[in-house]
Amino acid sequence: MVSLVSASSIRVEEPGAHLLGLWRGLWLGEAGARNHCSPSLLFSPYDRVAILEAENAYAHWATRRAKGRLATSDLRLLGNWGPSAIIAAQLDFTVADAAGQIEHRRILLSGGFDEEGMLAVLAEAAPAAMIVLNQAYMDEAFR
Amino acid sequence: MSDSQAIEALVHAYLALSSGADLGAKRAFWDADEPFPLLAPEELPQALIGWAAIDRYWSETGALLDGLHTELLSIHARRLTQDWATAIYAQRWRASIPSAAALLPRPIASTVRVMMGLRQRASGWRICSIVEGHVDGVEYFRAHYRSR
Repeated sequence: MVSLVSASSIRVEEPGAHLLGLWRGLWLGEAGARNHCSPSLLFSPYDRVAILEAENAYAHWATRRAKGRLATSDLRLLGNWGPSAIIAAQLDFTVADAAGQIEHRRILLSGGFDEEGMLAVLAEAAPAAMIVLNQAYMDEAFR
Repeated sequence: MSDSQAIEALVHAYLALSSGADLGAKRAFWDADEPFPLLAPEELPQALIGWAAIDRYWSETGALLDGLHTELLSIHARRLTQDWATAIYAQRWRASIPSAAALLPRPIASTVRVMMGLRQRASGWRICSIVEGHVDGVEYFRAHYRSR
């Protein structure tokens, strides 16, 4: 498990761990995580179309917490630039619902940090070739 | 021109290249000095890292698709530091796959959300990473239902 680190202690060799710590903290509702996010935090949840402004994004995290408990999370850093202003990573995590059912998910997680080390942009993406193909069918069929 | 306007203009021009067959022309919009560019297309389970993998993807995709057209639906650009910025936007693409005409007789299309990472060079903003993500299936059908 990765703990939160203060913005002033970000080490460039640990950008993935820092992003994971913030992501976990937001899911778990930790005030420390929210304090490391820019007021203009953007959010593109994997299950919503809209890009949310900060307050709506925080509300979304609360909804997510109510639906399931984050059980495990494992992040693999794919790249970081700036050297850690922009981060891209693959994230595997499991969620347990109220009945104890465990669901595994894999997403691509992208984060953008500002000069102060605040998380300014957070984007989640869930690649799945078959779903994409099915949607591509339907998108045209619905027109 | 503000940072946001410059980045939006870049994304518009970048997506306009989809209309041509030469997807490799997109490379000119990327940071040529970036040693580890990253492209995560919506349809692939793994991200592509490095020029060789990205060039191969562009070449193969260009040969596969016919009449590809991509439009920008919304964009929000933000400068992070002096030299770095991100753009989050949605794009809608439409194309045919001639080699799969028996299975896909009509054009296919989809709407995708994208996060783009950019570095400012003397020549302007240049792309270092693109991560694409489709919309969850349930939300996708809800959106179509509401629009009908």
